[in-house]
Amino acid sequence: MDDENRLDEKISQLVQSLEMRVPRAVDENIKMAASSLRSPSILSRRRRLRRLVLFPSAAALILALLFLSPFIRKRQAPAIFEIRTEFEIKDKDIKIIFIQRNDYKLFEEN
Amino acid sequence: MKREGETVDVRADFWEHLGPCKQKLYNYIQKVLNFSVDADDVFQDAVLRAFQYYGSYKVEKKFSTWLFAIAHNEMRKHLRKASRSAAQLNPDLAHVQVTGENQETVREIYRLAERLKPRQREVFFLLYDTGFTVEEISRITGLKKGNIKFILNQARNSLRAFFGERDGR
Repeated sequence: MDDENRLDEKISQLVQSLEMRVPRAVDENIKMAASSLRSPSILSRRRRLRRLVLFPSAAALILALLFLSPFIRKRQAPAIFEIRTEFEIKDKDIKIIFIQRNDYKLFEEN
Repeated sequence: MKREGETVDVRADFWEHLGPCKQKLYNYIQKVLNFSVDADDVFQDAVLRAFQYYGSYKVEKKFSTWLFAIAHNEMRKHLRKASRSAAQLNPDLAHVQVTGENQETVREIYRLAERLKPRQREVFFLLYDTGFTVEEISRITGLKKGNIKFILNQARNSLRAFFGERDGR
């Protein structure tokens, strides 16, 4: 292990003896490009997560409500305005039609 | 210093963090890319990408590991494009200044490193140039620690043989 550490130290020294400086032009290009980018904010990750979760969730909720609303709403009985009953006596060629309406008053008030 | 919950312009904060790591990052990219003419572009892309994603940096993690992980991804992208378009990497170290007594030894080490595969070269320089631990290299590159140790052992064996030959053993 010692031998390995010594070898590693030797290699590190030799490798690190070649060191390059960041060229000024590269530095300036980076600063210029960065100034035109939107400034990163501390909350940007949270905001992104919120947007990722919030809008699709809201959309899913609205769609779910639309699909389920016929089942959630109480079923109203369809309004009946008229009941029509037909009787036919074929050999006597008689047809009787009873029509019952909901506005029919059995007893008329004087 | 960056604090949770603050909505502030963090440009100054980013550059403050970058300062101490900038030169090491530049050297790392140059060396892994064999001092290619594209290395400056890759370095710029890496820094700008880190700037864009600084909002996602967690204060409790080490900034240098986070930054180098971004640089690792930029280099992988570049190497994939370079292999497709058969771009020439510049293997000639003549234009790079080597100072000190062991100039020829240093050149030879870099020539040995150049012959490594890109992934192996990354591990080699992350340890020997930048000084990251095996654990940190694993976080940066996504490689398992076992793989990293294997790569380093191979590099050590080659260099041991080289030093042995050079010293006439």
